[in-house]
Amino acid sequence: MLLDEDHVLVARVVSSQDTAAFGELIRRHQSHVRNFLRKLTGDMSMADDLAQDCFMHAWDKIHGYTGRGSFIGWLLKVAYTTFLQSKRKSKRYAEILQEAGHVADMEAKVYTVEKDEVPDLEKFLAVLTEEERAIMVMSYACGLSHREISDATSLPVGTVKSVIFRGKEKIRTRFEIEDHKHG
Amino acid sequence: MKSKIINMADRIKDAEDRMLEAMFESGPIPDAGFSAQVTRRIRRRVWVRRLALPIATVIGTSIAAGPMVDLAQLITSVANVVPQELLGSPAAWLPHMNIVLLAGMIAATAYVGAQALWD
Repeated sequence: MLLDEDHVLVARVVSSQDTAAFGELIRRHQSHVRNFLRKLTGDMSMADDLAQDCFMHAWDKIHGYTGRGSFIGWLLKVAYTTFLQSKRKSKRYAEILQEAGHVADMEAKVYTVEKDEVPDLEKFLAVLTEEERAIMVMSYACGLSHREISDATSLPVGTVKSVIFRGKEKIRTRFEIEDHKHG
Repeated sequence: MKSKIINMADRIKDAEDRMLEAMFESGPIPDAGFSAQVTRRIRRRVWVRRLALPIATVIGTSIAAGPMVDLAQLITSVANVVPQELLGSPAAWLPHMNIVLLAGMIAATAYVGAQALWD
């Protein structure tokens, strides 16, 4: 139902440049996009700036949305591209990444996580590469299917699956998660 | 059939997946004026784009008008100096050339501007 409504709103935007319809799409999806970028960058204000840029790009590129797959999947693709572009340009991001690298170094020791404990997300994300982080966030925070992640990242579905597997493996090794197979 | 099996395999989650989902889960981020801010930026951009072409056309025309009139006058004066028999057609209309050119440019500007606003 929500997907259908998204498609109706997108059609209104494409056919008549309806800013009110696009505003409604922003209201619906801003939380997911901002959440995705916050987890990806680890910096709230930068993530919100990127989210604004993402929606501006989405407005420009909305003619390219074919309706195949969910609108949020397409939006996260735009968000990820915006993130990668800003990373190339922004000195500020390089500094944040450098800090994240330090965090990863500091977190290099092995933690033990009890089966009922929910550990700090930052610690988990710090051990992942940028690509792994993006894909894990899309999968576990945004609930995208492997196919949707494949569309968003332009990677084959098989690669997406292996990146998720690798990410989980890293987390498992680094944090010694107990009883993960017997939940 | 095969794709259905793969899709089912996608959905099968073990305890680790559930733990990761719980860990990645976070409450919805309140809008707090975010969407209104972005919508305002988009509206501004739409207006800038709508006005850019007419404004550029008007500025371009105003810059080009002087030299164009001078050029038209020069052509007229040259045409008046050249003997009638060399021209092959009567040159009586040439003194009005600058007015014709100016009118043409204004009409073109108005047409392009109206079309941009209509779009």
